[in-house]
Amino acid sequence: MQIREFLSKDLTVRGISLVIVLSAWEVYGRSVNPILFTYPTAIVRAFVELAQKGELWRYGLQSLQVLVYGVLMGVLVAVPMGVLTARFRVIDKATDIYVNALYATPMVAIVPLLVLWFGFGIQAKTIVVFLFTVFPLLINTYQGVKNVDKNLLEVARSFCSSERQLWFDVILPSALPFIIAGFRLAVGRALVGMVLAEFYTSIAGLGYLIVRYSNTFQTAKLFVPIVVLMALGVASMELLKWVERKLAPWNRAIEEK
Amino acid sequence: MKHMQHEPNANQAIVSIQEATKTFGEIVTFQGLNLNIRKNEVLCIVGPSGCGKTTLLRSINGLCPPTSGKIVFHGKVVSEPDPRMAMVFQQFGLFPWKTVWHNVAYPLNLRKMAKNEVKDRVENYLKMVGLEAFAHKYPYQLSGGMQQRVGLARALATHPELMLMDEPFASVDAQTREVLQMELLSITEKQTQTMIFITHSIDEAIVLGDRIAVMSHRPSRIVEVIDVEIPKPREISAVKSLPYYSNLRNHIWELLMDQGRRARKEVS
Ligand SMILES: Nc1ncnc2c1ncn2[C@@H]1O[C@H](COP(=O)(O)OP(=O)(O)OP(=O)(O)O)[C@@H](O)[C@H]1O
Ligand SMILES: [Mg+2]
Repeated sequence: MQIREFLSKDLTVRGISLVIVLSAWEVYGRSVNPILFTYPTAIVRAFVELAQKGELWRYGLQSLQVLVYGVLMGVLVAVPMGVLTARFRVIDKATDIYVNALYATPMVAIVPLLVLWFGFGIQAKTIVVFLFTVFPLLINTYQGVKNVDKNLLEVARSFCSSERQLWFDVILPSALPFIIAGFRLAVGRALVGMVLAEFYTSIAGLGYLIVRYSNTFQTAKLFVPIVVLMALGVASMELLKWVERKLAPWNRAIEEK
Repeated sequence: MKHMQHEPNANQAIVSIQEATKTFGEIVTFQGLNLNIRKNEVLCIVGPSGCGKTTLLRSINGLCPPTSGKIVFHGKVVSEPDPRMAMVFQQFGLFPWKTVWHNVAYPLNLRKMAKNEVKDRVENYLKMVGLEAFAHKYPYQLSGGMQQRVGLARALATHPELMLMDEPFASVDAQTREVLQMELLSITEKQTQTMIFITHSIDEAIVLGDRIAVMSHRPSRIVEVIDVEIPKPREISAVKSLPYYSNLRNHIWELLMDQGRRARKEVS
């Protein structure tokens, strides 16, 4: 009985699972050629070494900078544009062909072109990240504004709201959960875009570290930027969940009902 | 806002609906409808489902002007929402992202009312509907009955000259409904309030109404306007035990049934 209770705690189950998987990896990893594979303790050692040399921070910060600029640009373009296209039919119809076409295009395909145009610096990479983020955000913002409850618009009109007030009181708050969901999607894609751009430009960032260590067969070190990227992904998702709870506390609770 | 004419006396109409017709494409909702609402009365409107009650109320509110004819409020034809009216909605119409407090304050803030006055009013009306302890909750945290109390407080807090109620108690359970009716009666005792109250329930119309207007099937008009001769203050259970009550109930029932029969005949 006590064992079952002990096992039923989610955290305990996760912990045990982690220990088993990591141990199995450790045991198996040690028996494989270190050029092809590695094991957890070797990764930790490599991590400490790269951190001490300062290499990790330098390249990590470069990546983070590209990520932040690109996503920020994406937000600044996508949210206002989503709002405008949802509000004005003319703008919507004038732009929706391009938006749909570009959203459907695998962005990977135009990365080499962008590098050709904008060079190997931060500019090209930022633009890649921007292109990866802008469409999910734009489309979600558009949906959010379109999805506003007609009844609530009528409530606002009934109480003599001005058009401007309507935006602040009804349309934007109602679109906010959609925008945050779009942001979550966008950040996931932004990480992909960032690494990809760094593969192509190959002089900076975590993506460059991956290319360098894989070309020189330093597999344990190769895993370090991968783990960092994983942590970055998990952390940003958790951060956004937290932001959503703060900004739109009503939404999650309604979804859970 | 200055008005040249004097305050209308008790018998004068605050709202006058004159030969009003509203069509949506092929659908004619009400046609050539005439009705006056007097100051300080509660006028209940009953009618078959889909006959255009909500549409009529929206027209009075200025949300959808009639196709022809006119609706006059305080001597002026209604063409857009007027801050002297306040609506209570069937589906409550609360903003899910605003707390109870901010939902009630919403129309007051739209009017650019001073902060401390907003505070006073919100607190006052939340107390009146018994929700002062829930001021900082979100609508989803409240039951349906509580949500509609918020809707009621929001409308009352604007000190409207005319309250428009569109089946406000239709989406709560029967017990809550009766409690809300009692509360509404006691609120309107304390401060007189002109009110148009739409309902499906004949009982509700008799309990709350000073007069009852019975609407016909589409294209609808007012078939009969009945004075409810039960003095206020009223007590619901006492009202329901009056012989007058059951007679009136039967009478309205017959009127509505008649409408149903006529509508079926037209279809066949
Ligand atoms: N905006 C609109 N566009 C088109 N048709 C409408 C619109 N609003 C209402 N109608 C139609 O007008 C008719 C009357 O609708 P309304 O909602 O006013 O009826 P109601 O008497 O309030 O019905 P209920 O008792 O079910 O609430 C219905 O047939 C409805 O489909
Ligand atoms: Mg209705």
